[in-house]
Amino acid sequence: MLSATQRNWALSLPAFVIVGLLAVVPAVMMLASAFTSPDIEGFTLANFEKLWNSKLAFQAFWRTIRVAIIVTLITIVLGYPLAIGFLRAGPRMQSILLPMLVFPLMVSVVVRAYGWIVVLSPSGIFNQVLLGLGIVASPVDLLYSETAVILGESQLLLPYMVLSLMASLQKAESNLEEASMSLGANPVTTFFRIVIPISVPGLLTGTLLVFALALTAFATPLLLGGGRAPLLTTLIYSFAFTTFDWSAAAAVGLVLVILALAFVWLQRWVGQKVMKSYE
Amino acid sequence: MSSVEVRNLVKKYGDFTAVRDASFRAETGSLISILGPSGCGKTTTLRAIAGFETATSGDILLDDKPVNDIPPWRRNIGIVFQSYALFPFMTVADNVGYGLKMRKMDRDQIARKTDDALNRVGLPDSHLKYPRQLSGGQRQRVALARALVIEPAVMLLDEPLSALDAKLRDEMRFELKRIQRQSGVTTLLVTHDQEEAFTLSDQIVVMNNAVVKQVGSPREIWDNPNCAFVADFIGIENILPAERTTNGVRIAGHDFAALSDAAPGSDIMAAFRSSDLELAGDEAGQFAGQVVGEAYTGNYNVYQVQTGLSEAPIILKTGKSQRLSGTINLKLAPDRIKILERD
Ligand SMILES: Nc1ncnc2c1ncn2[C@@H]1O[C@H](COP(=O)(O)OP(=O)(O)OP(=O)(O)O)[C@@H](O)[C@H]1O
Ligand SMILES: [Mg+2]
Repeated sequence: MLSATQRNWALSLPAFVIVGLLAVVPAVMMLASAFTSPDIEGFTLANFEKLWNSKLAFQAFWRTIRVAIIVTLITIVLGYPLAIGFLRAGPRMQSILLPMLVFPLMVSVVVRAYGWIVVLSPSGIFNQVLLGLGIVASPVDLLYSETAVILGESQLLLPYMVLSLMASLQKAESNLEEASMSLGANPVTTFFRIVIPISVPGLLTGTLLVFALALTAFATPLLLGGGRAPLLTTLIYSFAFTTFDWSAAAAVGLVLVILALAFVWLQRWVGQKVMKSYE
Repeated sequence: MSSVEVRNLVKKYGDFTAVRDASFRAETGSLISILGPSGCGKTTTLRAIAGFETATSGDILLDDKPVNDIPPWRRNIGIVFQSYALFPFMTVADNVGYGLKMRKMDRDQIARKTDDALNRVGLPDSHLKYPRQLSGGQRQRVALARALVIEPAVMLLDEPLSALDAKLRDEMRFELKRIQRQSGVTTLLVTHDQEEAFTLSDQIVVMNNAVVKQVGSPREIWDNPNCAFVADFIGIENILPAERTTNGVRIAGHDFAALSDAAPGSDIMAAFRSSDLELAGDEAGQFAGQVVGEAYTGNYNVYQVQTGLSEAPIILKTGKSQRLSGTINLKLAPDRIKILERD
């Protein structure tokens, strides 16, 4: 007879093997290839040197971080009013709002990027309005810029933030705000001293989700940023499929992985500090 | 500290009236209870006083000044919610100190007052605990301390004891009374537990179906309920339709002497407690009945007796050593029959 632990291991072994073969092995091979180069024998840091000396790679690196931070901030600022408004709406209103909130998640990222192209292009709705109102004389070039990427990703990731915030705000007892007001805090003070702290667990989850997804987003930056505003993800793509420099692509990939892990670590660290006074 | 008055308060939610023309007054330093069954509008009334609900019509007065236009955060009213509503991410001390911080007091003053309030509610060393680390009774004390420490003009308690188990509830009841007496704060207590209302209050407001039925001291309400609802709610078992006669009441053709100022001939309800019925010998009885049901509790025996007075059997209680069966004769002292308006 096998012990329970042995049986568990035996049962999960096939899954480990499959995941190992399909995910871990290629990832390790890919990362290993970051340290090889066609021109040099054996282990080398040449790819990283090349990145270090590339202005484009540097720009992409900082742009990736900047975009992820701005997108996260935008979803936080827009997420609070939406989450609170949603929870305060009556049950009938909620049944209308919930699909509106979740529906975008069911539409392909590519379709939504094309939506933004329609809005932002020189002959698009946005420019038509600006021109029509006489605010600008010639169309503003918004498409294929960092702004377009930020707009697109914010819209894409907003539902994740709203849903996370809602989950934690919903758990809070409704009388807390009233208790705060009865103790002399006006609604604004109550919002900052009670509502925000109550939502911290959801804010942490939402930030992790949105930041990680913004960091690794690919289709939106490719379609809305194009070659003019490359991020690390689109840089990987162009190394791999335009210059066929797989080693350079792998090196950028490694940078991205480290960036993501560093952020996850930071989030957990902050979480542990803050969450001590929760649950 | 102030007096509180509710004057012709009406609160409607759409077409639904949650409070209909409620009026009552609590004098400075007194404890007044709003007593009534679930859904009768107790919490709504309390929330209107706190300022969380705007009155559809009518006035809320603190110290005889209308406060309808003053928002909750400027009313200086302390509230203990049924669920306590302690801030979960703050320590006990921070919870209690919150109201003082909002009043811009300095740290030392806050610390001193917080200590003082926690001592008063019997929680001298829990400052650094979080609400989730406290028992139900302790949470309740913290909620009380948090409401008291701001020295409110009025304190509102919404079923503060209902989340506690029976033993703790009895204990906290006395504690609550002691704290209220010591602080002298005008207190309004919402409850559906008549024992709680009777043991704690100076005045009781009995509500039913959004309407204030009776306002009076516990004694007044106990002795002279004014309608069938109140009589039933305070546990008077026998409430029968009757007619007023010149010097008494007539219940289903039987005449009884009773004291009342209702006009003769009017339709009323006559009520009496089962404990006020007396067994009589054959000659002295006023009416006869047949024992049709019995139950034995620890302290007394309860009998259902079918009489000519009503279709449903009336209830009779005897000492635990006294057993009854078959046909019995009963009588009622005149001053024990309560005359009620028909609802
Ligand atoms: N926001 C609201 N919208 C609509 N109806 C409401 C609202 N708040 C309360 N009510 C209704 O008003 C009535 C009175 O409610 P209230 O909370 O005052 O009852 P209560 O006497 O406190 O009852 P309980 O003892 O169960 O707490 C109830 O029928 C309730 O359904
Ligand atoms: Mg209630």
